[in-house]
Amino acid sequence: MDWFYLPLEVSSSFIRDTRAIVTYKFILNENYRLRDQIGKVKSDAAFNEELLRENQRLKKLVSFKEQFQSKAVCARVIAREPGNWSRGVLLNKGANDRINIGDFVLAESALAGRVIEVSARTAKVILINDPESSVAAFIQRSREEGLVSGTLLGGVIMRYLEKDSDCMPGDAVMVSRLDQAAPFPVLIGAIKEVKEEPQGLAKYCVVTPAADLRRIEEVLVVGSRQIP
Amino acid sequence: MSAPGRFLKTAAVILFILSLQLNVFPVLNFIPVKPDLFLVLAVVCGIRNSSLSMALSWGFSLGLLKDFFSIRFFGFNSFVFAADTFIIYLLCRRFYKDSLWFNLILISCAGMFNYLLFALVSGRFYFMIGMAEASLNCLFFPLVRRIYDFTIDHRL
Repeated sequence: MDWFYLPLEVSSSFIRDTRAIVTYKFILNENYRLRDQIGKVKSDAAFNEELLRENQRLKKLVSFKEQFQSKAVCARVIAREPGNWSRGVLLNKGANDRINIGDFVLAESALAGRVIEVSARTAKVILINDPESSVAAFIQRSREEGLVSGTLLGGVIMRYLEKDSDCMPGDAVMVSRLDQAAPFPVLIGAIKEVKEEPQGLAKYCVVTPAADLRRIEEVLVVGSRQIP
Repeated sequence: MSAPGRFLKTAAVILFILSLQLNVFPVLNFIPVKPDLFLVLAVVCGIRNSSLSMALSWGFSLGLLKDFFSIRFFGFNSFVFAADTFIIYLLCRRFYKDSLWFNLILISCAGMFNYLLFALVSGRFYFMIGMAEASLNCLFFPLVRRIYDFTIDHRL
């Protein structure tokens, strides 16, 4: 039976190949055209994905903004600190948008930093992982108070905890009520590791900030006296 | 090249370096320490410029540009970069300035000089970060020098 079909197969494959050779130019052009279309579709998909992500971020920011009674200004990060000695960002809004020195800056619903300098259209923000930054904070589970500050390599630590503190990895760290100007309740991050001070008199924790401080793009600036 | 063309090229280079320094390096997770392209460009200007006033103006302007975006010690970079370019200009008049090794030594020394001044001003000593930054500056030096030669340097 196979012998019977063999000539048919050979002839049909010959015709197919001949047609492919004859229409080679057309197929090649079509191939190029389809590749172009695929490239365009891929680029559109990436663009749509970016829009979707931006939309999600902004929705989150707007829903968070509603928690605050009056002043809460949304701003974009337009530049980051150029040097290695500090951690800060530059915002695209300033005094014209009622941003003042000392205002708190929130990103991804968590504390990111504080405004330290304002011009008419821009504001400089010192991030919580800057070595000079310090924020009064407490551990949500054990209610212990401490001071959150940055380290030079961009980490965040919570210092001045008692030696017998029962803080544990995973505990949430919040901005303290003791800071009368700070918005409350605002998350700072979660404890990653608990360590003892070199002198052995106190403990400190390494904190993972809830906001990705290296990649913040949109922030919410909350007035230091606008406590809900 | 015409003056407007030179101006446009210079502006494009500064914008490129500005965006690399302010928006690209800070978001790269795998390098906790950033190179200082402003300093590298200031050093290149100190080495390449034949006039002291031009070298000093470049150094001062680049420092001022960095100061605008730094969150503390406004004016520190303007002063230090001008001092860097001044010293480098004087050294390049005495030694063979086209040697790559000599240039790398200059750029490392400039980085460490800045680090020492910053440590004195801030009272904090971050030796390892100063060293890492100086090494990264050396890595970026050939690129910045090439960019400078092809765009800003009008003698070519």
